[in-house]
Amino acid sequence: MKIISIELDRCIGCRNCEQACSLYGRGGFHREDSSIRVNIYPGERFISTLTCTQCDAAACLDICPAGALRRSAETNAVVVDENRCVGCKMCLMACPFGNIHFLADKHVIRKCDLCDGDPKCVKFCMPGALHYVEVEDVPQLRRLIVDSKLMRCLVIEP
Amino acid sequence: MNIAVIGSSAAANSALEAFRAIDQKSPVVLISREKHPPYSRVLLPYFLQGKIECDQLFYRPADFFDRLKVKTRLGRSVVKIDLPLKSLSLDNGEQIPFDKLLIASGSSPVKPPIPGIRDEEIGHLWTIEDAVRVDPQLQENKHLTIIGGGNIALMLAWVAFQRKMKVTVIEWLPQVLPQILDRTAAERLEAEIRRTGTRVLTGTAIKKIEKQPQGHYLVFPADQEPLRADRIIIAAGVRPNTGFVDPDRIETDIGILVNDRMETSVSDIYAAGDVAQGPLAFGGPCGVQALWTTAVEHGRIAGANMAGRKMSYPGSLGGSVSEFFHMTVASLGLCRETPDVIGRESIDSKRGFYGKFFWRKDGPVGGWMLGSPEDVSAFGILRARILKTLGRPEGERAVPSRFALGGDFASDLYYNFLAKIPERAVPPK
Repeated sequence: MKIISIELDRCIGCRNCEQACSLYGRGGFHREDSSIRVNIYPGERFISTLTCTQCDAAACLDICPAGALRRSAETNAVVVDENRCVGCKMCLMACPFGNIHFLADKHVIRKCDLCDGDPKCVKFCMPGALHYVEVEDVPQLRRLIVDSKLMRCLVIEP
Repeated sequence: MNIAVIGSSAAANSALEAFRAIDQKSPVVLISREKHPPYSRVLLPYFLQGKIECDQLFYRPADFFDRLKVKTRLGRSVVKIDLPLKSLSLDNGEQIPFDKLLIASGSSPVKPPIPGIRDEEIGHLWTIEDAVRVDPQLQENKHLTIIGGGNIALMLAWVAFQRKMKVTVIEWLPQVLPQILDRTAAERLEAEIRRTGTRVLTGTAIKKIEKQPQGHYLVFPADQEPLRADRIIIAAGVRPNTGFVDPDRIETDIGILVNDRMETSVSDIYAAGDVAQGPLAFGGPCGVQALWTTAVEHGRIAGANMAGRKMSYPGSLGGSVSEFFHMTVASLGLCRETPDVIGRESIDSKRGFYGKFFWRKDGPVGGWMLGSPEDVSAFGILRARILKTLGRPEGERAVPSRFALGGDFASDLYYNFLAKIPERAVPPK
């Protein structure tokens, strides 16, 4: 079972992931169509990139009164059935991360479905800040990141 | 252990799911007045809007009860609970013994005491039958009068407007959405509704309703000319279905009083959903909320406790979201200014966002907004932040066990929260 892991230290705020998500999911380049969102705060010198974490105890899945959300057996992602979604917005209100978005034209929600196992945001992330990794490998990955940071701090003269 | 469940909507279904997740063996019998498999009342306005078909109202698979190994008595109602015998009497004379009982009988819409309102064609939008009956009545150019100014009333008004009816909304309180918005916001919303040609009469009591021989009605608002109405629909609130409960035995106020484990005053009897008067997030006396969200939460706690797992309910936060007349209205938590709570307006006229957020010294406690659908996602974050203010563990529980984020997670949330709320609603110093 794989998830998208975000390495914020590497994110440069290029918004390629948003573009890729919008293009593959909706066929255009509109930030509002993207399921991954890059928020840039120049004043604070901070970038926050968020996408759906496919929670185990998913609040959106629990609350949906239309039966429009289900857990995909293949990718473990919580996916939307656009034919059933009525756009009641209860899941937007339930998601503690603000990771569910609303398509104004179709009047249904959109959320990350991991592109059926081939997430385009990860594929097109220029600085390599997004990783699509096995859940079990996440701690390993995080350790590698910390290690490499430490190595940079402890500059050893040859 | 024999389990009986009264009701078949949100609370009952989420209780069944929670119960079966722990206990797969105990026999369960479900009794419901509804003749159908579980369906979602929330969807009825969308059905009238034509957005979904009738079969999409059923939000669980058709074999939901079979899958959960639940025997059903659909279309039956409970007449009496025999406490010493621990048995239910149904309207067909059947007796159903139980060891543990869940009352999730829901609520019914009220009819305000107006002369002439008892006419059988003046109905509600509450059950699937109501929706099927009302659907062909929403005809172009006919006059529809809606009594009530809450969420359901306004959603219905919006649907009827979209179906080109001439709509009048009559609310006897001085504003629409009295439980959600303050006066200024409500006036803004009313102005938006009036701009479409829909009439909104607030602070208006109805003296009487008269059926005319030609088939239509005349509605007599106090101090105003009578109005013609081809159809009248009442959406003036709901009342818990406690008719079969003996208030001398099972403690009842507005609804059935329950503790944090959803137990009533009688052991082994639980209540959940619209019928239950349960703990609220901000403490104080228990309340009936009649919300889908609350019913799902109630059910989950009740189901787990009935299966023997001790789970405590910290109280419901409430919260509602709806969309009508090109405006999305959402509200959450505590939305009243008190000596401890300060409200801050947040306005972005360019995007048409108008909100107010309420802060205590230790963090946000609530808010409401008029805005676009996407803005509602800020309220999901706000919800988590309010739970944190209240020191509730499920603020953390909502965070997935293996979350996929780098960096300081809390600050992430905070930044995202601020980014979504225009003109930062800064907490008071």
